Amino acid sequence: MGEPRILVIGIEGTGTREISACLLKQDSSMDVLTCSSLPLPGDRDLHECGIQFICFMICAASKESFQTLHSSISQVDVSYFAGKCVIVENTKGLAVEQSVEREKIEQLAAQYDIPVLTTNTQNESELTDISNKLQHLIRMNQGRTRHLAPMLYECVRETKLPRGTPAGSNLATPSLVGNTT
Amino acid sequence: MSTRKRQSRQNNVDGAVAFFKNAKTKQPFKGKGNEELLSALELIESTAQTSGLSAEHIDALLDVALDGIQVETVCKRLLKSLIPSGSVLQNSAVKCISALCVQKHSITLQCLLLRWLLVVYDYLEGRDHLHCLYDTIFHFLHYRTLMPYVCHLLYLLTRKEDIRLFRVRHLLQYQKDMGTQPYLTGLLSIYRRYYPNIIHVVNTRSYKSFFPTYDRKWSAVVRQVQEKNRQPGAETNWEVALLQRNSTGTQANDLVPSRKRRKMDPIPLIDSLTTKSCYKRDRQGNILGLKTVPFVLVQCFKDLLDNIDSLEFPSQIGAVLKSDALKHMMSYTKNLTAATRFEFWMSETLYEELTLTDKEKYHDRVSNLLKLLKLFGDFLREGTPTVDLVLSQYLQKWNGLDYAPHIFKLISQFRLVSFDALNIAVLEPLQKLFACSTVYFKCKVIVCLTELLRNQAAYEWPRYRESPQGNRILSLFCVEEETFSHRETLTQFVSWVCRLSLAGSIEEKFHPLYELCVLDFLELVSSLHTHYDLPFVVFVEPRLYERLVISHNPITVAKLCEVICRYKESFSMLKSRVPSTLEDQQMIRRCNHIIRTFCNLLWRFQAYSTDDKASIFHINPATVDERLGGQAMGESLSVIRHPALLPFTVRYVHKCLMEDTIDVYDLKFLKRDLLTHLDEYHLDAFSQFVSTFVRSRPSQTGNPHKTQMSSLSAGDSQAFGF
Repeated sequence: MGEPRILVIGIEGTGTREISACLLKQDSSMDVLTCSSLPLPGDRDLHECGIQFICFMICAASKESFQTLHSSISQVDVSYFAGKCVIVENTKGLAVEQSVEREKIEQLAAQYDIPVLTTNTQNESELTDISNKLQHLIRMNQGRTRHLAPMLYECVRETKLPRGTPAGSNLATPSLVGNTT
Repeated sequence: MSTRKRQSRQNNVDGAVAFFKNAKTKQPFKGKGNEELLSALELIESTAQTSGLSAEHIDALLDVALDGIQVETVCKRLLKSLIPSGSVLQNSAVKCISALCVQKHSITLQCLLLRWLLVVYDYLEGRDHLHCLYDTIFHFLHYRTLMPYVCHLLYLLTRKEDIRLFRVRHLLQYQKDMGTQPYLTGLLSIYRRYYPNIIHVVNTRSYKSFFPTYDRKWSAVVRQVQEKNRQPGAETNWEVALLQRNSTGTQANDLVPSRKRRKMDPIPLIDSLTTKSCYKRDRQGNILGLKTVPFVLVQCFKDLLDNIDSLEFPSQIGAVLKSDALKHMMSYTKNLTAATRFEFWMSETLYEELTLTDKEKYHDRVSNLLKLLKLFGDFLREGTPTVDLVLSQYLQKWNGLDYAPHIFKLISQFRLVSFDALNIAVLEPLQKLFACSTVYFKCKVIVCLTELLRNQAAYEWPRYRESPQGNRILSLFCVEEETFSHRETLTQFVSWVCRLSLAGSIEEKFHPLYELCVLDFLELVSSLHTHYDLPFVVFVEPRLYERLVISHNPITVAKLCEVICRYKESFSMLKSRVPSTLEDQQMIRRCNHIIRTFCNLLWRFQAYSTDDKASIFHINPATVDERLGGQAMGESLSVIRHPALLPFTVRYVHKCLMEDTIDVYDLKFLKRDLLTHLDEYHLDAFSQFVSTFVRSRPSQTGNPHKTQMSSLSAGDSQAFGF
């Protein structure tokens, strides 16, 4: 099976370094590679490099990181979209409206069927938590757990609505006073 | 500054003030002979700038400035130095107004007096006395030079009972004569806020543009001095002030919103636009002849009952979260405005608190808000639609850590909506976190979903059922409902949770805590009809049962048997009440299949079969290795040899049979005794299961372990007569 090889993609300021350091701290046998965008230097193929899992980093306050994500995702082979990649949105503890609209990230993720996780790399406990989650996904992906594969949870999902439907759009909306419906 | 220096300075200030107080004749300001006056004046000014003056000094120096003994320059400098170190006496404010009435002073000094009053307004120890002079202050609007300051002061003092038609007429006349002036517009806007139907003022300005700050530097100095003098327990002082404001009988709060109050707590205090004293005075009827009783006058539950039809909701509807009396009022009111106001406030506040505040700094505040929201939902026994909306948006980017206990509790109050909406809003975000989290988080999710189902069965379902046909559902909140099948929603929800639980149990490999949480959910599902009177029974995914029955945890297997017995009870009760539909019959068949599987597994030593290819107990005999031994394989999950029950079997053999070796063949004859032994360990669900579904027929061959499930009739969907 070998050591897991993970690729963390994200521009400067998206928390790529922090995530990579935390992953290595928890499992030093892991091979963590980082790059700012795809394609890889020298136009190398991800499969040839032995990449088993991809983590896309995006910062909520940086439109540039979203654009990089958008261009990098389109370079990824379709086989990675079966539970072998994840998008991590780094809020960095921002208490203000973020620059990148949440709906756009969700639509992009839905288009490629990639889960989106949220974290704040400036908070130690959240950084550890996201690292644990990534380790979990990586282990599942590697097949280290018997009877466990990314498609197991995929079978649970059930939706008839189009992918990328905004949350709450189908909920009953409060009506104004005087509406007799 | 050391204590000695401070003391000596204080003594000097006392001396300086005494110098001015004791002066009986006009003293020269320019020229020779005024060194003492100048030094006293400079000392007062410097002390005021650095540490402020006490309330008594301010009062004394105000008397000096107003009695006319000193020249106007000195009076002006004294007034400019009246910077409070703490609060300002009410009496001082009254003296200012009475000085205006006397008309003894120059117009410049009168303006300065009003400006001083506006600068220290926030630091007055009370405003009752000043408010009593509202009529007098209004009179000074005649003086155009004083008008901007008088308008500003009136803006701060105005309450609902002060608004009179004649005052409105005066203000409109001034505006007509002078043109649209920002200070007049500002005062009219506050009048309009109380009585929008009698004043029509087009107003697009803000408070700051009505009354531009004339004395920014002066105000800044006062603020700095106050900050410097603030004691360490300043937050406690604020809390005390808030508590005092919240007690009944206190005056209405300032109309200018207090930013400091909002920063401490987003939930506003109970406040009415009228006060106790003013309500009594205006009992004859105010300008609009309203007969409502302001809520701030309610002091006990009896007051609420006595005025049940005439109570007026407070100005800040969000205060309902902290007041039990208000909650009662919200629950019975027919006033849809109150519910709409509450929803509007809630959506804004909850969104801001969850997404726009610093999590670390305001964690307790947000947690408190979420806790109160949950309590409010528990009281009303229904969720708030806007809370569901904000929560669904928040869950999309929730990391599973922030405010987790409160978020789970609010999820459990989610209203009954179509399954697709619930899936997008709640289930998919939870499933995403479920898949990559620890077993403890998974347990929390299962518990949360169990509570959600319980809430929807106990409160939401009856609410929909009790609503008149074709009309909107019985709810405090006005919601545009979509048409959907409630039964289908609940059925799909249960199926979804079962699939999720199955995936989780495969991953967590017989984790006892996780299995217990799943079994709690299954217990609830099995008793939906018997305990919550739902007109249907939902039988869950059979694979989940098969997965759980091979658990290593004896409690899991026992509880599972108990759940199957409950299903029997539910189906029997359902059959006796309503004619069974096609769906019910399908569920009964599935249930029968599981019962048959369990009986074969636990009791009849036939764990594996060739029937159901999708089952985990399906085998192809041709592929089974001979060395495994057919009979032994079939007994491997029986009550005697089940991995979860084997320790009990060993104990039974040692303690009851007093034997050192276990003979499985002999134990087959003693399996009923083994059940009795299990009862001693509170695992009586096995006995219950066997007595319910297994009927032992007296065997003619003397082989007592032959049993019969005589009531099963394969292929006959009508036969359900265990």
